[in-house]
Amino acid sequence: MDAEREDTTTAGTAGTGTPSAFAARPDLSGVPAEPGVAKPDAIIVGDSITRQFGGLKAVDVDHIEIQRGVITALIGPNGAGKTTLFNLLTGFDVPATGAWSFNGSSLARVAPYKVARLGMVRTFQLTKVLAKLTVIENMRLGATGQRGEKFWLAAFPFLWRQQEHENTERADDLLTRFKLDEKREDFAGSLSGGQRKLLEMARALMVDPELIMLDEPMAGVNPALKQSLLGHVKSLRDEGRTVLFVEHDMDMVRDISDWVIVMAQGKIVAEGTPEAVMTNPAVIDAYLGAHHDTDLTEIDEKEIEAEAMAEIQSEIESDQKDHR
Amino acid sequence: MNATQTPVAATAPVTAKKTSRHATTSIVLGVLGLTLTVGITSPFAFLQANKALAEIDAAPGHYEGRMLAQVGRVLGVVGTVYLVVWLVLGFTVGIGGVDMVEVFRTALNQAFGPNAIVYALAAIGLNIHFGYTGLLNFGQAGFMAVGAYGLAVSVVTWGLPFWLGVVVALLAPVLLAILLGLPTLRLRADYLAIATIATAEILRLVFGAVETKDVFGGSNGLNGYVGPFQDANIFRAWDVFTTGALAFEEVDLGIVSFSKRDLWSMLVGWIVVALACLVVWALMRSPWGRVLRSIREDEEAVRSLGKNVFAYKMQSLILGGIFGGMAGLFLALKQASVVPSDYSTNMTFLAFTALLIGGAARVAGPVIGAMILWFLISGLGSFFGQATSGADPLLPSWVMDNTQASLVRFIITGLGLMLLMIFRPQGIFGDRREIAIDGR
Amino acid sequence: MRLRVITLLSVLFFLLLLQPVGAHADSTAPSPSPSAEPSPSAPLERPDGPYITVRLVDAAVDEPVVGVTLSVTAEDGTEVGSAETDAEGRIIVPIPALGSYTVALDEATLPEGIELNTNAEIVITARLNGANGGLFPIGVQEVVSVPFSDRLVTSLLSGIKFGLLVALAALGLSLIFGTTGLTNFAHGELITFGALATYVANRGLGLPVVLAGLLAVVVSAAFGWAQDRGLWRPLRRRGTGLIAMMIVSIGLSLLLRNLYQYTIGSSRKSLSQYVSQARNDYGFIKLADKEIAIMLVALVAIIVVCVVLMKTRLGKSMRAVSDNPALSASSGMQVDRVISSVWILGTALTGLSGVLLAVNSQINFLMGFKLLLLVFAGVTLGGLGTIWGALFGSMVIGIMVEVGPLFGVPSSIKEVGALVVLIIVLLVRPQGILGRRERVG
Repeated sequence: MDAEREDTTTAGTAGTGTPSAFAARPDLSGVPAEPGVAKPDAIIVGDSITRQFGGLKAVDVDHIEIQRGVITALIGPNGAGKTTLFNLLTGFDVPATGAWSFNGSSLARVAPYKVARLGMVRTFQLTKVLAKLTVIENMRLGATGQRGEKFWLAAFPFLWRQQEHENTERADDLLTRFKLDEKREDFAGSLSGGQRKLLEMARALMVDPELIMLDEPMAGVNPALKQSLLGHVKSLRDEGRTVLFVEHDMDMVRDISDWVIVMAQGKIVAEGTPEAVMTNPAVIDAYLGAHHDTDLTEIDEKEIEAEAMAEIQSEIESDQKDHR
Repeated sequence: MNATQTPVAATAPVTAKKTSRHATTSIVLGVLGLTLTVGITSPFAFLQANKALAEIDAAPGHYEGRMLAQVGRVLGVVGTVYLVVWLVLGFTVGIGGVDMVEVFRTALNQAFGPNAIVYALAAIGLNIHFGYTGLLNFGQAGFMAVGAYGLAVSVVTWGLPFWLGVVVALLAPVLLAILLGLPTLRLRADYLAIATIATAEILRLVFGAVETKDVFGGSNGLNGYVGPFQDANIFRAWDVFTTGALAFEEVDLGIVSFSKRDLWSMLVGWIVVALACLVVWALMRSPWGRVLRSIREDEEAVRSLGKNVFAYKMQSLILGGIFGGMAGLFLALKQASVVPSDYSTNMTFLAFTALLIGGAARVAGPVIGAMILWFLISGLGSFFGQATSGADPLLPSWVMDNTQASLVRFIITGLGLMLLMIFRPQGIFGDRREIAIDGR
Repeated sequence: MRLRVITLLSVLFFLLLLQPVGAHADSTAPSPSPSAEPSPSAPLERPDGPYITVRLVDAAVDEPVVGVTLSVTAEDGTEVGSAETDAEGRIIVPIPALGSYTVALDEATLPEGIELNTNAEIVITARLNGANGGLFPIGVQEVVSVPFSDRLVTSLLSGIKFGLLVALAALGLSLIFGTTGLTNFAHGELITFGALATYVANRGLGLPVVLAGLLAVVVSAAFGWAQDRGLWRPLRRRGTGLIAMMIVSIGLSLLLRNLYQYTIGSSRKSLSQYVSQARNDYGFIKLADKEIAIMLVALVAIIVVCVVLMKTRLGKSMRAVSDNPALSASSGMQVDRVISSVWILGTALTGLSGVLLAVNSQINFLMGFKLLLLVFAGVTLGGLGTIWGALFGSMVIGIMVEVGPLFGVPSSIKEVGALVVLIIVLLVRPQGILGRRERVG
């Protein structure tokens, strides 16, 4: 019954921003702006991923690739299947069909905790801070490969105290960086919505992920904090990590993303640089819900509505599950 | 289980002016004080009423219920006076054949006696499950049963040596935890609750069945396995050593007295309880304990950080189950027989009550809780027993006869559990901020 | 003296709330005819203290019945001991103290071809310090051995009957769980409440059983409404968590169960009518009139409720709240009102289950609590919170319990089979047979 099997990942290789990783980032400028396009250096490759909620396809992605070392935004109208795709990629939900890989290793039927250990860590749309733990305890939890988390070693502090000390130092650095150091000893439940988002992001960084997936990092954050949050996300890329985020806030998408993927009705309908996507008529149609003859299949408004409901339903379900 | 309200509650219309909660509480406690609890809740009624009045006066626009609070205060005062007179008279001359000193002695005896140890161990296990990890194990009686039967069956039925029986008794709950955990730990919390309660009942029925009598002894259970345990009784050994003969008299320790057999059980039992507390304390302050508490808060978040939540839950279930097994083992040793009807669902619920009295997610919570529970249960039992027996009982038999008197303590326990959960879910020592249950 | 009056007053106040229901009715238990003096050759060892002895005799041939298990239960429900009848058809069970004890005969251990024609339980009041007891005052009848297919049909029928009774209670539990999320451990006590209310109306008020049953359903519904208003709704308003409410319901269960025992004692009671009805032979099947009536009433009640839930506005809003309380509230539904209706409907159904159980056999303070786990099993088996699931699961449980013994489940613990099935289903299909797939980690 060993909870922490040896860390099989090489999460450490992503490191904290080695210049070489920075330089190695291939340019995306030559990549054509079309759905499902291949990237020069993809960290995630997915094929024919589908997930249904009661007869409606919430996600139906033929091909998706996420470029390493850049910030990719995943946008789309409500109910487009973005969060569901997130859940599928990270193992929190199981697709009906599909295959996808991270750094070349297949992730189909891999448990969420293993996905995280591989170096692919996510945050949640409804922030999941551990309300009754202090901020610093939240942070310490994030560290991987802790000896003290093994049952047989836990009762002997001398075996893990040194490591705990190092983790705490790292956590304190991150808290300072995210300007949460003053809240160090507060219960996480007492933080504001924006501070919770920051804490969740900082905690995810404790895992030292190669790819960090942020689900609506701006939702519920007050405008004063938004600017600093944007800066934090950019700094993640600048230290060599890959960022994939879901967002509704178009300013944020325009400001910081290097590449944008647009979903509607569970499908990827457009891809490209922010500029290219913003002017793409398919995207405008997807947001306005208008019919378009070429790129989009016939959109039945009722269907979209029902699909949106299905997604809300699934969120409520998982939400209720958390309350039980 | 976080601070968010349930969707239903969130939609409840907010009335502009609401009755002060303290006022309602004080009325409830006041009425209880004059009826069921013989004045014990009255001082609290008085305090609550004062709080209510202060609250209402501070914000008259927000609260109503001034009248209610004042009634509560009067009830509280009357009840408190009643309680004081009761105690004074009861401890000096005795009232209507009720000797309060005797009631107190009985209560104290049980608060430190072997029964409290059994429930303390069971509740320590539940504390690991429920208090720290948020697992709803309603089948602790099942873990206790396999512990007790593990010993008895090994020794009596299979003829194994005593110490091997103890090993079996400690391994059986591990096995049960694994069997139970594999299917249910991946599911929602209530499934575990139903699966565990069902398993505990299955075990009790099978252990008591006629068809399995050859192995488990049927409804009369098993006995005749405690020899080595009793032989090791140092109090008797001391007698033999000093006087050259066995002496069986009660040992008088001031107000309480115990038989040498109980004393030996208690010595062993309290040492085990202390060690159990030490283990829980050491584990829960470690990163391992931090993972458990995090799982209690939000297991998805923990999963997203790369922790194998299932494995941790399983470890928690096993560890708590072992303490449950120890409780059963100790019960088997102290009463020298294993009877299936002991391991009913009620036992689990009483252990939960003990845990909640003391406070979940506190190392000493279950121990203090078990002592208080037994103090109250046996005190009330003794009081009502005395009040309904004798030639001229305090309570005439048309109000309450001797059989009914034995039920009053459980009626009060049920009521107490409800009130505790509603008004003080953190128990006596719990930190309100750190419990799985969100009382607010 | 004054103090004593206060105590009395306070206790009285409490009892008035309780409505003492024929307390001490159990003292009417048959007084034991002293046993015949033990013959010198008596093989059984006689204990020093008080004990109960029972002799089992086949009335048809006036011969002792050997090897039958009888168990003795004290008034508080704890089992004192059990024994098998010896060559003289006698058992001896020592008892800890004088008082009333129930002696129950395990019908499964009766020899092949012998069947009881009345109740398998008697109450004995132990008054002597030595032997207490006498002949087991029940007749034992010789019957021809029955072929397997007939036994299967009989078991299936009892299973269906039992399943319907469980289904009524399960429907109530499922409705309440669905709308409020409350896992109500006091649900068994609602079953007992229905049975007790019938008993009071029948024996206390002298109403005929049918009227008493109707009244009991109404009172049960009122009890449910009051419980929601007085306890659960305030808790919901306070935002009390679901687990906290579950534990409150455990406390309530303990409270109610002991109050029931306080008022009616621990012995079993019978109604004034339809107590022992002979079974009519319908060729292939044998059923007593009351059994047919019970099944019909249960079936009609279930159908009516299902129609109500499917067709009426109230039913639709109940299902809507059950599916998604937040959404229903935001679309202008009065959630509290719907929940009140659900409590009324749910407890009425559960009360009806208790009424029918009372008519079917007997009334006891533990009857609902004993059934609770099977009700839970039915609900979980079908899928938590779904109505069809609760019905289906309950039928499976009912039939499992009754048919199991034919396929090797020890009949003294026939509930075990159903509970094992529950755990296996959780293993294979955790969402229940008809449940929606939950996302599982």
